[in-house]
Amino acid sequence: MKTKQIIFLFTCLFFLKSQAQKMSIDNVYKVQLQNSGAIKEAKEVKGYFFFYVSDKIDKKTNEYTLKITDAKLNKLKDIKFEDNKDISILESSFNGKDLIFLFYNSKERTFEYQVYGANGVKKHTYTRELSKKEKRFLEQTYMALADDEDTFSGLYPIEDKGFISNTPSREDKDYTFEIDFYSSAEKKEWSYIPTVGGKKFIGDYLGTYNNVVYLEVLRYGSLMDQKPESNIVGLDLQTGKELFEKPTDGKYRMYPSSLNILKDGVAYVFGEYFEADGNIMKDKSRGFAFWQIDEKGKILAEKYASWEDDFSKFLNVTSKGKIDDFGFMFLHSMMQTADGSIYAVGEGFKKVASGLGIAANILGGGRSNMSVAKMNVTDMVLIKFDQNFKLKDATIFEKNTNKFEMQSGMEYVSTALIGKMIKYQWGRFDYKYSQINKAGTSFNICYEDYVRGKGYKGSTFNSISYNEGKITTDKINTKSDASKSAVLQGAQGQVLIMEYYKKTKILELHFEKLN
Amino acid sequence: MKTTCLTLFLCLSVLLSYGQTSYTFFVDDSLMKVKYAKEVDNIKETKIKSLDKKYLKDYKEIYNESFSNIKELILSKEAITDTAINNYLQRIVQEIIQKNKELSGLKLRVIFTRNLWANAYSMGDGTIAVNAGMLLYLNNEAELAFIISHELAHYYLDHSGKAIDKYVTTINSEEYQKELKAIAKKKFGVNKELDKLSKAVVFDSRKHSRTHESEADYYAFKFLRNSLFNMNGIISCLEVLDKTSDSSFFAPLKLEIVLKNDDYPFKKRWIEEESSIFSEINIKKDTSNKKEIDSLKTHPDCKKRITLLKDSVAKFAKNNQPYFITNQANFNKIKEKFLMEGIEYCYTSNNLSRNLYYALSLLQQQQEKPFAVYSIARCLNILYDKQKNHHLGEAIDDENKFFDADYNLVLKMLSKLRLPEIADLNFNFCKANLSTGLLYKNFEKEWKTAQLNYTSN
Repeated sequence: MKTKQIIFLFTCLFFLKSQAQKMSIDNVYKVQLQNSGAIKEAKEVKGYFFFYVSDKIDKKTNEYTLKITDAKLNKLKDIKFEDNKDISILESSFNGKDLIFLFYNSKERTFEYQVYGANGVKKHTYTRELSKKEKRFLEQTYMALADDEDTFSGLYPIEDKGFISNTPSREDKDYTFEIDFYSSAEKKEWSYIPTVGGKKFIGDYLGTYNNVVYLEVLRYGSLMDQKPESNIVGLDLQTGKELFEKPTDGKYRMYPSSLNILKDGVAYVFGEYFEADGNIMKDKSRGFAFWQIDEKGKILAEKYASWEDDFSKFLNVTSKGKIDDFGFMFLHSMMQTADGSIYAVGEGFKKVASGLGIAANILGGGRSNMSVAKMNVTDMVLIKFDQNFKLKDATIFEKNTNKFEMQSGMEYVSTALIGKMIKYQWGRFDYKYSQINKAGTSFNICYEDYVRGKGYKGSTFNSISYNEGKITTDKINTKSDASKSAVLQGAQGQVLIMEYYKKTKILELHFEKLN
Repeated sequence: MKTTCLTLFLCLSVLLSYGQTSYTFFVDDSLMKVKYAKEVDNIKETKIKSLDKKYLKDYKEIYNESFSNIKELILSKEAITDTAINNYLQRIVQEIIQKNKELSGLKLRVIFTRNLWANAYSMGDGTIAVNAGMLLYLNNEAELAFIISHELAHYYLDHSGKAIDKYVTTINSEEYQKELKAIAKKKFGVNKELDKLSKAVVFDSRKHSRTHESEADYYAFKFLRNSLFNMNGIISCLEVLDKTSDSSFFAPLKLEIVLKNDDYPFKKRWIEEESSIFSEINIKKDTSNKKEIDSLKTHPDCKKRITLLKDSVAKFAKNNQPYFITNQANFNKIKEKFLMEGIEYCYTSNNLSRNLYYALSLLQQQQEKPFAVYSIARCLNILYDKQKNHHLGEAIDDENKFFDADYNLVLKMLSKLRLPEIADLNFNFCKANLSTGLLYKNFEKEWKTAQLNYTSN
């Protein structure tokens, strides 16, 4: 009743031992789960998909079933179709009305975006062919890492209009990215691929405001360039035409991380800021910046909160942003609540001497591959700004330090760059994801920890929650009798606890609320 | 505010402590449960000894599970063995048995259960269960007698044993095994073939099941014809059964009104609709696979059953046949008690969302108010505790399109309420209903817990 049980018969191979052996349907039926995931509308989970091979048609073709459920795992629809045996689903998204799935065919080298309407019927299919270079590049970047936060998430919903796709791209010798718009209302698409004035481009989708798509673009002069140009680019949502490209230079230089529309209908870009001529890839940030921006990319107002003057009132922080015991902060996410307040969540990290690394270097005569410094990932921090972007609070939430050794040479890498490496290359931050509801009255920040207590020793799933102005914390012990257990994203304020029992091949799923 | 509450509470406690009541639930006869369980064990032993050696393993597997379920039901809190209620039920059963000689030798265990699902079932060994939820829909004892007669017919005709035999012989048959082996040797389209094969078996089994139902209806008609009961009870019973899935025991629940509180206003966001995937799909009305759905039904449609029996019933129905062999007041009293037993059983069986839903509905219709207030307070306290320890998901249902809209709304609210909100809601609910709640014996304890949860927020 309360616990849903799903039995996945993961490739049960049948061996015909003798003619006398009795057979049953269970020991012949073969189902192979390709992949599954949460379907989200912005940061809210709205359902789940389970994509599996339901039959083999011939050598090259499989029958697939795409099972779509609501946020409570109630089945909504089974979509059955036959296709090449080399397809998988990379992403999905929901824009409040329509649903999109990104299918990847590794053999044919295609991305196929399938849009389904509110009536469950397929509305449009958009196909993008990939060159060999592009395929290789995407497999090394976009497809290489998948996590709960969707670090490489590339499908963003535009309410009732369609979806924006952002993927890395390889054009001749240039390493760049591709922004595509796939309309859900009518069959319409456009693409934007920057290639002019640089050899390498990294683009982040910031948001859409008044039919303008805002991007943060880093342009590198060469592949080895250590000081890329940072620009905000605006595209016309209807045509994909570039409307503006402006350097992220105001009084200070900013590295925008998101664009939010405030209650009064004004758009702001948020992010960390640096010295006016600073290097956003290498320098330590000076604090947080909030810029009001219009549809032409013009900066109308600038607000700053610095480590030195503002944060020091709440934390023991140096002018370079190093906080006592906490180390440097890596910004994970920023969210705005219904009362206009802005919350930023970060996680601390610091380099410390590695006894093991030093010993290895001494014993190896300096030829060890191990760095003499190791990395400590420390606590979580929640920073609150009011609707006028004035810093109101900064609270550290303690957790166990997560330590790991690094490769030789890492001791010389800049703090800002090493933060990005922990996030994108090593995946060693404990932060999992943030969720905010549409009304902005409630959010959860979730992270993992490890506890060595008297009563419990094992992993924990932790949350910092905001509900109508009140901040609370919660912890769920994730160790259980199951062979494998995991805590996945549920609807906002909830988690999906998944427990797999190997012996019975039963997967038990139940939702629990975060307190 | 806390001082005012305390003073009010103390005054009311003193005033009401002499007039406190508590609902008198049935007292189960544990000796009867043990006796029935022993009978089931003996029947199982005899059955296992008599099984066909050819497919012994398959039979044993099925019967072991089946008898274990029967025993579990009998020994559980779900089975009602209260002496008075059992005597009442046996009076109805005996009226049918005594008037039908072919039934006289049967060893039966006919029981009521506290389950509020409108259902009755024969478990194949002589154990027959009639759920409280079934009785709540019935209008008279003649309808109840038809339900019992129908289940008796299943047992008398050994439908359960025949279904097991059919299943075991089918899956062991040369034809089935040959087909399965041929499929297993295939490289492609294996699952499609297996689906086809399993559907053929299931459809055939359901077809037989529907035939068994019609047969049981016919025998129930025969048994009832020999009894005192009014034959019109057959048709009215089938008409009731036709509607059970679309109706409820209560008027539509208005959560905002039942939980209306000036000190703690009901929050619309608790039950607000959200954007949902495939919002235009209404699977309840989906008729695209109607043929398949019809083939999977275990029972024929009630309308078809009525058509089959209507003429025969008309022939034998007489005005002087009674609808009650005890009396209507007694029957209605039992129905009222069954509702309360069912609500309480939701609590004891850890189905807290159902318990809350029924208790709120009870309060809305001003029925057994002290008990309703007490039940809501107790349920919210436990929900608070479960949510705090992350075990709430084990005690509440998830929203589901097959549930009533009212119940889904309660589930939506439970999924939205945050821990401090449960404490606030219960504290303010208890405070607003203090005078009614204190009329109930155990409410005081719940009120204290609600205050404790509220202050610890």
